[in-house]
Amino acid sequence: MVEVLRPGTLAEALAFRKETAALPFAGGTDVMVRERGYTGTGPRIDRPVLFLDAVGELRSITLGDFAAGAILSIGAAATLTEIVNDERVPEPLRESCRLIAAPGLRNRATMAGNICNASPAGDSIPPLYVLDARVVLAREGEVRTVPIAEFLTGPGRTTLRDDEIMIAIQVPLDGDAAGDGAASADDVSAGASDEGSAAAGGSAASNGSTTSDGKTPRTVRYYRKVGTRRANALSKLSGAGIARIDGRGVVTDFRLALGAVGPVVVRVPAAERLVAGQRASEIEPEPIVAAYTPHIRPITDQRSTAEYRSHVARNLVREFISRIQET
Amino acid sequence: MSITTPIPRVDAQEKAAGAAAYIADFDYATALTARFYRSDFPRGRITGRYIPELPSGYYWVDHTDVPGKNAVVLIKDDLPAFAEEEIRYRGQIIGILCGPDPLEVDRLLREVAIEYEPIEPAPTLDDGISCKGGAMHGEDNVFARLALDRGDVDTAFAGATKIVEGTYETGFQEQLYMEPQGLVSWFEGGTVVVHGSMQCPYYVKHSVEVVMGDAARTRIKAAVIGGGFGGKEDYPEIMGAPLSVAALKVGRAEPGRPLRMIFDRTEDMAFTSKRHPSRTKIRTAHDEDGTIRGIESEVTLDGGAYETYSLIVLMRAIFHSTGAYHIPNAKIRGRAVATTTVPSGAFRGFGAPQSLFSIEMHMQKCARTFGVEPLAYRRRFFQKKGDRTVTGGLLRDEVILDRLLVRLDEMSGYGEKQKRYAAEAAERRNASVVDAGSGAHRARGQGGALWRGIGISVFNHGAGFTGDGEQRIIKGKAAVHKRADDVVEIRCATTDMGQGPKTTFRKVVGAVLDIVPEEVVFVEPDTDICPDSGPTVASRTMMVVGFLLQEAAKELKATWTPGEEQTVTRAYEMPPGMAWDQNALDGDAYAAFGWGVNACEVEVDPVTYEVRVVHAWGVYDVGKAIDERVVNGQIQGGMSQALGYGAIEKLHVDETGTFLQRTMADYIIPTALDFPRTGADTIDNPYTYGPFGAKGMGEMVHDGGHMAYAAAVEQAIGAACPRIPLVPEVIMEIRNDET
Repeated sequence: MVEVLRPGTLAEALAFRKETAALPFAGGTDVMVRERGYTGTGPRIDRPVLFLDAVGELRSITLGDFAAGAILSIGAAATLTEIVNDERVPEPLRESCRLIAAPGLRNRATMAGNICNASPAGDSIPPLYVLDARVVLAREGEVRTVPIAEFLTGPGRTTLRDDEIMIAIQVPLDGDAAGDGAASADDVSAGASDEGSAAAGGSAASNGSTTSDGKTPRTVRYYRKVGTRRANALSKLSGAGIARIDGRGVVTDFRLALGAVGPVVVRVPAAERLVAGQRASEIEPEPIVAAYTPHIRPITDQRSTAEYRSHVARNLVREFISRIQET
Repeated sequence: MSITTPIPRVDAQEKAAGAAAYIADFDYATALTARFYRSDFPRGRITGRYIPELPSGYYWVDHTDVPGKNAVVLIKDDLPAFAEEEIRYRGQIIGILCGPDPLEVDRLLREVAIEYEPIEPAPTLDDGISCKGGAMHGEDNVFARLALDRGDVDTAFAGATKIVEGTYETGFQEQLYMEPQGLVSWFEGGTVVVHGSMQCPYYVKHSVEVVMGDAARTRIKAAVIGGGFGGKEDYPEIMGAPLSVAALKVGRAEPGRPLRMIFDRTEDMAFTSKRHPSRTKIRTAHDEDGTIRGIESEVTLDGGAYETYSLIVLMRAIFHSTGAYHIPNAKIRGRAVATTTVPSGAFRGFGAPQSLFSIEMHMQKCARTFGVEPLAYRRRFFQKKGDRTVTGGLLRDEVILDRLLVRLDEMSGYGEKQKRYAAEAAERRNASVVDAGSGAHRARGQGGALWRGIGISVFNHGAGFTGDGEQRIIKGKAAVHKRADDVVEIRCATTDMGQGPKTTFRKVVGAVLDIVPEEVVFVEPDTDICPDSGPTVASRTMMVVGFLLQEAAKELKATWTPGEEQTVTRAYEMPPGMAWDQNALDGDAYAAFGWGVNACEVEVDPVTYEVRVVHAWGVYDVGKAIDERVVNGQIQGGMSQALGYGAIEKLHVDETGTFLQRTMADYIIPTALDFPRTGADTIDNPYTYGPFGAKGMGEMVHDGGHMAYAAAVEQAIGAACPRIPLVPEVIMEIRNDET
């Protein structure tokens, strides 16, 4: 028999985790598939299980103002449905969650689970990279905050310690004031997947407010899930991007993350610096694509081929740049 | 009220409410859990077996327990019920372990160990052809070889001004019925009973009889079936023969103790039969204006590790190799080859979807070669009444393709869209030539407009068993039985796996007898009660069995005696004038053909090569629709299954022949968002020897979607698409090869 605990408080959870190194269970939609036994024999989990769904303090999504700016804190037990329904969750993160699996699964699954499963194809992860999200890890007597890119170290590998639990994901809503993230409810994704067009999964939205000199700074948000089908699909690869263009048409910030093209999500600061400072209309895409190319090292598996993934990943770079260049 | 007017499906409510009892729902409280022990290596010779010591009440069963012949009879009987020495594919059945506690059975199974000498596997068609690792079947790995010759091909080619050649490939396809395979079996009082999910109770009976020999009489009962698509035509025999042997062994110790074997989805997907992959080489000889003088076609099917059904799948494949076209000179060759994969088996269409794909994609190529719009090109060769088929059969009925196409164009706007999208494609080609000249990189990957295309397919499907099989092999019998209380029962071995005969047979019998259909009783197929009306396969259910029931009902009506028990049984008779020579494969390969035309409209995303099917349409000649809603359901489902086959259902094997896509997360079937509702219609063209004029249609609706899709993608991407599934990875390769 598997020993299980379903505590109501974080303190109880941390104590059990420390004592037993139990498997934290936040939704379980990956665990139950990975550890499944033959029909009628139940799952084969070889260690105690710690259910987090009843821990009240892990369920909330809260907005905090910190010195560095507004931060949205997403509790480790908040479900994807709750995240998708929360308008404060910035794009492209919200869109990525909306395209995970199907409603039934989103009602159980959590973002913390999606992260800790550490699949290179985890859908919420590229958006968390471009949003510079951090994860909050707790053990008895200690809480630490780690950038997402430092937390994930390889397929199925993280820096989570045996006595730690991920308790929250912090997403900075850093913003160029109005017109970003939490401050703007009309920052609506243009994703067309509701009606299932061929551009489904590809979405970009611009928004901005007119400055005093009459020019419009813009933020372009980009998300593209390249899945195996149009719904209830795992990703072959994905891309998430955010770019800010100032009132003079100059790109002041360019961030792009590519999922499932390497052991961890790919973000290339050197490539991002190549774009920053350029006038959007004058960006030559090919040198940027070339800067990403050595970092795009996908594998062939049962879902797609290395050739396709690298070819399309480079197309996503081009597509994101072309979205920036659209006026 | 017309027979076509839909009535509520008699089983709809119980299925929707979850009240229908599938085999896994039966409360066999005392049942033992039975599981297969399968080889975990792909090919070799067993040299030793270690079976753990079993607790009391647990049993190991293998080939040494078979009282009769250790073989599964499936046309051929080359597949052993339990492997003895030779293993030809990973997952081959070696034994059964059963006992009261599923967890203990699970644990014990993991303790079984097999020693073996490995042999190099031959996972692909080319490996099979080249006899990698040595031949596993005969001297050349060829299970079956067939030939058709019509007219004078050599003269046709000698006089040709142009020859068009192409090679076309189709992949595996998994049936993915909702309900996994499941059977329960027990032995009591000298009878072994098998109860479960199956399309063909008498096929199961025959296979169980062979393993039983004289040890037991047999009784087979069908439960409610949660989908089949051919997947429950052969597999319940492959599963039922060894299971019945285990039931006999257990039943001798514990009389009546049931064995329950319900597959896990992963076991089902990994080890049950799939559609035969195919490779077809076609050469056509043409006149200056494109007229086809003759055709040479060479069809190769991947039969998997044992022959099982490959011969008759190959027959249907070559009989459909010239599609809906009249080509007077034809040389058709077919072979089925052994590989170290799960034995390929029955799947809706049974060889026809493969060869129809090949001929249709070849017609696309011919149309391109001669610069003619694809439909206009095809029209020049349509078969018509009085023509001879590729087997020399006579088309006795009107061919109404022209009327089907008028309706299809009304619904789809094919003619106009074809021109418009062709113009768009030409514009793109010109634009990318300009770009290439200037060195700019705008051809791909910059967002931009979606590439649009529309494609069409034209096809027919022979209904019923091939040749004289209905008369020579099946000898189907069906009965209407009137009880003393004047309630009429339908007694036949036809199963309702979702395709609706529980409803439509009642309509046929009810209409003849002037009884409300719902008051006719459909007896669940049981070989102790129901005559052998043949298997529920080959689009024969309504046309063949339905006709027997109609005729039996007519006779019952004529002899109706109130208050008296009466049974009228009718046996199949070949329609007058039909002739077939099985040795020469010459004559009327099918009593009747259904005809269909499909169109499909797509948008290809130039960034990811993902394809969106915008619309799909199908217009069919099914003779007469016995129930409009049932027929429409078949059209919708068949189209989605065919589009899935053409677009997304990738199933590959690894270097041993093991399937790589073994879960529903990795084997991709369409969801409601993937394909649109099909614009569907039928046009009446009643068939004399079908009930109320109905012809077979359950498979035809899977025959055309994949070609219409591939043709649409060809227009959208401006390149030939000779293989399916046409997933984005393949489209990318095709585009890269072009540029």
